[in-house]
Amino acid sequence: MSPVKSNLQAVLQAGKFAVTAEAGPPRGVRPEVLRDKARILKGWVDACNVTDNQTSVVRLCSLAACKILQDEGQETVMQMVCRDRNRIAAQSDILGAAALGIHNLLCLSGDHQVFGDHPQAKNVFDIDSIQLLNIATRMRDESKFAGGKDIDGAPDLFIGASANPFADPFKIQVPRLAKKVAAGAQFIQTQSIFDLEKFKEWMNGVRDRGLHEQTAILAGITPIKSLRMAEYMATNVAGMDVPDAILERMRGVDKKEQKQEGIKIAVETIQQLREVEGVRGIHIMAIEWEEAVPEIVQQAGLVRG
Amino acid sequence: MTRLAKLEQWKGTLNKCIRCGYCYEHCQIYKSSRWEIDSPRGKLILLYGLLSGEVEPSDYVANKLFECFHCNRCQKACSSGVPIQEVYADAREFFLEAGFDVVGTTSQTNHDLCARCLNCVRMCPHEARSFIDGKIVTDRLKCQSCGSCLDICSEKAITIGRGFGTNPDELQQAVKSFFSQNRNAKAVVFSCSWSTYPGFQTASFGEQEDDPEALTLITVCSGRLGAHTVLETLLQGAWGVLICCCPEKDCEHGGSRRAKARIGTLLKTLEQIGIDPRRVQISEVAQGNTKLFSDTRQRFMEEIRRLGPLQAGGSL
Amino acid sequence: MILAELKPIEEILSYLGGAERVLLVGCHGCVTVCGAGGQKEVDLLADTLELALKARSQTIKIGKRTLERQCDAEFLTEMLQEAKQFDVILSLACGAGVQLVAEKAGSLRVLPALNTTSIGVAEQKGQWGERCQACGDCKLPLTGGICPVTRCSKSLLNGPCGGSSQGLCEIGNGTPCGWQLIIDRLEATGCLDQYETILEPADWSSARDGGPRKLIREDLK
Repeated sequence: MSPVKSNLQAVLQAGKFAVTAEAGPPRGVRPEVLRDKARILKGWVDACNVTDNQTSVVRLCSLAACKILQDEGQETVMQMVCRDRNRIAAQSDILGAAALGIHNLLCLSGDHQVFGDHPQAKNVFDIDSIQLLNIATRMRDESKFAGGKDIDGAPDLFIGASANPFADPFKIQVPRLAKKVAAGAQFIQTQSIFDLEKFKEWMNGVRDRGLHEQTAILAGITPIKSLRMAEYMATNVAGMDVPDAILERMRGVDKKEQKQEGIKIAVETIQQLREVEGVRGIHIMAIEWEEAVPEIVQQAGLVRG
Repeated sequence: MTRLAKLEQWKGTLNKCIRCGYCYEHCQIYKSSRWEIDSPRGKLILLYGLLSGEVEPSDYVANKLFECFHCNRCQKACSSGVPIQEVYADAREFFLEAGFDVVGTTSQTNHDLCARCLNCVRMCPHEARSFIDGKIVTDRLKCQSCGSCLDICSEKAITIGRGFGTNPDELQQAVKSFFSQNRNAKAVVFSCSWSTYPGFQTASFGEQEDDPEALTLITVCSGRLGAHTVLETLLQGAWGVLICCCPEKDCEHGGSRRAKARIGTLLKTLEQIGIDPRRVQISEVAQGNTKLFSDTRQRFMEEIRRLGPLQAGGSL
Repeated sequence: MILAELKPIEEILSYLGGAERVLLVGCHGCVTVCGAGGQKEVDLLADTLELALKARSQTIKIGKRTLERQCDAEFLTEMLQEAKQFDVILSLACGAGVQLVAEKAGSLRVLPALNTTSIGVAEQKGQWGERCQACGDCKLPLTGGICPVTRCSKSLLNGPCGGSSQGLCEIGNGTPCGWQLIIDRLEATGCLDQYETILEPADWSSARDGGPRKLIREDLK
């Protein structure tokens, strides 16, 4: 096998427990914001996910943000949503990413624009995330565009997708993962896990079908910053399960100590997830709180190197 | 089965009617026509005649029995305890089974105009309308003549056989005469028969009937009053329109809720065209709450006088 | 049927400008069925306009007509004759009807009174819901008779997304998750195994994306 260009892929192939984290681009033109994030994360994670106009709020584009971070020496995972680009734009961005040395791609549907700052926008959804996985895989493996024509060269990509074990209908979540794997997903980053029991139930189904051997599952972790954030996620975010026990725990500590409690919960969750067969790494989504990442990685005993 | 079927069983009961006339004081139909034969007492006498053989069944008699707004106030007022609605129900069944040509106050559909949208079928609160053999058919035993279907129809294909002053064209005609004959005419009160009529009748009937500033019209259920009728009233020169309806929970026809929704939309429209939405008000008045009806009406009139006429250059 | 609803009256008034003679034209087709553009609505709009103009101390001449259908030129002929006495035709038809009237109305201005919202069905009394986007390539055989293009807010052919929660779509307003409906239907018809077939990207050239579409039937010519 030829050496892979993606560090994340190399880590996973080596059988190491991978750590990725999320970094949201700024709502403006200043690259320093990203460089600061790179400085915080560098050395603590194997790759850093760059969100693509997350929650449909306009931000500096994922492709440019990836380039800025990689120039700082931080490998990235470029997220790409189907909401804003048709198959022409999607493939064009993939070519651009490959040319700039971005080798990890996460294919997503994207939040509906109704959540963002431009609810008046027309959504594209020419293709969905599974079709995007298929297209990207074919671009890499067959050097073909979706339309069938040849590509001059081929993008060298490690291709991933998301999974949400907490979305409904639950019974379809394992078959849905199977579809993503069949479409080419080499790694999976899951929705934030608070309800471990439900996650384990999903993983049972995943292992029953051997899907954990066909794709690398990175379990999603979101450190809770405050009780308010926990309550917001519990009630306002579709497809996110925050059990009462977690809310109770946050309520039980003083406001000043809630951040620390959030990190503690995250670390404990990681330790339990490491025991789950088939979990090959974690993906930390510390929303606008990148400083929490090194602390979590350290406390969880996952220091890189 | 005997000649008049189930009706025969009421022979003794009908004997109990002492002709006191308390029933017709409460009857919307009688109040409108002022003919004895339209009063519950008159109808019971007709049935008595049928049973004694002095009256022959006919389309005319059949129709009389189907002319009813089902408010049930006659029965409540009956000093002899005659279950008038039960007697009517058996009489109606007899006439339908005997094949008489019956319309009464039930809702009818003009099949040539009907677009088969089925909106009336779906919304009929009494499940009296259905689509059978390509046509909308009214079950005349189920229809309670509430008229909820009237304003639903986009094709104006639904009519109530006889409205006794409550059909949209009758209401509009009454409004027109009122404004052409009264120099001081200012407002129209459309009131739901159920909620306001007893109060209207027993409290200050005379005073309100003769009020040269405000005309009070009974609509049966408020749910049958179309936004069109309200607009026509404003166009005739009214400074304002008050609609009185039952509290939602009391309305057996879902009419209060629909009236409120309809008037709510109308108020938004009025606001957009620059007309003060206080000129059109809808207010709940529970059955028999004479004082509330009177106070609501009075408060409304005070507000309308303050707002003045709806005219060019003046206050809108 | 095609679903539509009345535009806000202030918007209609702003388009009418100073027109003094307005012909309101309803349609006995779909817009009557959904209670937006039938005879009753023509009457109501006429009264509203009259009242609005009265409030502005202006007068307006209003004509009213309701046609069999506005999407067939033959039904327009008489109305267009009458329209010569008016400044503006205000059509209460769907977007298609308004456009055909405009095509045939010569120098006369034609304005819409309705917003055309979708192709749908009556879901319950007083409620209609969208069912079809007219994509021109019906995928219903693959999805249990429920259209993913229309019923999924993201038109995902391989859904549901992670925003499906307790049968509802992430966009809220009580919108059902289209894919939950599809899965329930596949299950009810014993076809849940179909779920794992990956649907290929759609060919949108048969949809509006391929340009305005035409339907040609040589046998009817």
